[in-house]
Amino acid sequence: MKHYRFFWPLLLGLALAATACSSPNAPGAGSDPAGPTQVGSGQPPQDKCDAAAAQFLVGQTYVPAMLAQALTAAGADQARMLNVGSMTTLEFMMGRVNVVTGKDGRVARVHCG
Amino acid sequence: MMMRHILWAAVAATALTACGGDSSDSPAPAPTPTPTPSPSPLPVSGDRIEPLDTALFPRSAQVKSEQAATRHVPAGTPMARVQLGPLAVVKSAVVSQEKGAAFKIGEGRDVSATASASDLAALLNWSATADGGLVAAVSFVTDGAQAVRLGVLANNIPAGTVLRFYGAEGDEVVEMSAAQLADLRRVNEQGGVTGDAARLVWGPDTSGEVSTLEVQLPPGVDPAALQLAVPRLSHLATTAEQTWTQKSVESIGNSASCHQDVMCRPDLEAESRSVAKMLYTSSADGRSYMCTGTLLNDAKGSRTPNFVTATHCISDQATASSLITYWFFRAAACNSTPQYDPSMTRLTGGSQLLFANAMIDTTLVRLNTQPPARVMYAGSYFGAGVLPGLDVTGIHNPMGDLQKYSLGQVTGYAICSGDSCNAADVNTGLRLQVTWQLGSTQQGSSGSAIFAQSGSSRYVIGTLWGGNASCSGGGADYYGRFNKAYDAGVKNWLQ
Repeated sequence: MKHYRFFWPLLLGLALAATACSSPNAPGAGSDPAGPTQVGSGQPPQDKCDAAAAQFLVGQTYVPAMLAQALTAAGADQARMLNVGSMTTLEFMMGRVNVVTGKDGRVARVHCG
Repeated sequence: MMMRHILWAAVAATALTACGGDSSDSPAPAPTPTPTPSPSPLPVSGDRIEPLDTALFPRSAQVKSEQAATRHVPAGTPMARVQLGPLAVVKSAVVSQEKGAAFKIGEGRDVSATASASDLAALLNWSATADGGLVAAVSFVTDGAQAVRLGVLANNIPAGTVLRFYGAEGDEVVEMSAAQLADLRRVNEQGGVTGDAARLVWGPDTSGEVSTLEVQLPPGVDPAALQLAVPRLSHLATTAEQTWTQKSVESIGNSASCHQDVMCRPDLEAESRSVAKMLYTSSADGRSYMCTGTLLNDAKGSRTPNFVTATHCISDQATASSLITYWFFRAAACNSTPQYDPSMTRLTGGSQLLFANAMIDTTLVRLNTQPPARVMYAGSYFGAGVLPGLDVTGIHNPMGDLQKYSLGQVTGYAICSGDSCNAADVNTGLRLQVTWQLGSTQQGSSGSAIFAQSGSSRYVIGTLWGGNASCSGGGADYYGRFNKAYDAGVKNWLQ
């Protein structure tokens, strides 16, 4: 589970300086408080992911059960939900399918990695 | 033209003026322009290491030391063959044929016939070599394997001994010296591995169902001094090369449309040759990953293959040992995807973990195999002159695709813990925040370097952790600050 929070209230005193100068903004703000969730196949790694087979999820309102659907359809080892705009590390896991949800709660994209 | 010539001193002065910086947090003197790098080794010039471009060397000197290994057992010499027969049970986890694709990998098999040093010694039929030494070999047959990997237990390997591994006729011969075996044992033990596990070395994949281990002793060494066994081998349904190469080629064209082909920027050609796509298996979960890393020059210009990436990619020795790198994994010409550079070279052999710091998210490994000719050993800047407003260039393999570049600016500093980052100042921040004006990053870009320019040279100043930048625009990425990693220990390997 990944959880991205920026404690901007703690930086209130620096707000003016942050505005005047170039300093980190708040990427991840507005992301799902629960953070990304993921499910695994429970099988030894196969390093496979066929995102094209899970594209039927795009446009649908996201519900957690979709992760299992994506996992099965993509033949992947792991399925992960990410919010558009959430912060994440950028390693590419070969057997992972990512279900990316938009601000409207619908699945915006399904991709491997 | 987004890429600008950067005068760091001017940037620093401007930023400090705008932000009211005082002497207490003033950065160290900014780097001054430097001449075009020459092929000769260059010393540290205070706050940086210059790049070293081997493409500028005479062709004969482009590769540090590589000579094709050959078999040494005389033709016709009787050789013991250890027959294991076919695998009794093909476990479902070993071979998956779903959707017609065979992925992987292997099944371990015990080899009782050579489980101990005395067992193996009894099978070795020694012949004299031209230099007065001895050579012998033994073959292992595991029916139906597409490739075999031998697990060698090296309890005592006299100095000067060479092990060779090869498969079918015409297969590449891979050598391991006694010194390399000792190094691997040392690395294992330093990594907390003990007992036989520290002395067990897995040879390379050899093609076909027959794999041969050849042992050559130097003159004057009694074979009784050799304590070597092969207690285990891996029966591979698909060679790692087939699997990984297939996956690498499948990745071409997979990145998002905003990414910019590095081959469309001739001025980045040299830096492009310092960047490699990484494939590795995590010891934590046994899964396969892709990241990006960059070859670094050291202060002596020694061409030691020090390679920098992210700690969340590689953080332990077992994972470092699995590393495979792809060099010149880039388009053959500007926007020629999927045609890739014919110089593309796959490098196996793994690496030694030298430094890892999760807070900075920077890892340094040393590749166990020398990179191909014409690579560039990138320069690095470890001073404190990287300030907001600095232009940076990222070179990476998003989604495992051919190399792309991104142009952006440093926009601040941060301290990150887990997946959360908080703004920090120039002194306390361990990461650089970067926003992009052209291109972006994606999965697979982790570990890639950002370069900043000074004079006519570019220097690594950070390695990618991640962020929320995307081709949709907005967001930011965070890079481990190279100067912090340098001070925390990387300097011990680059000086």
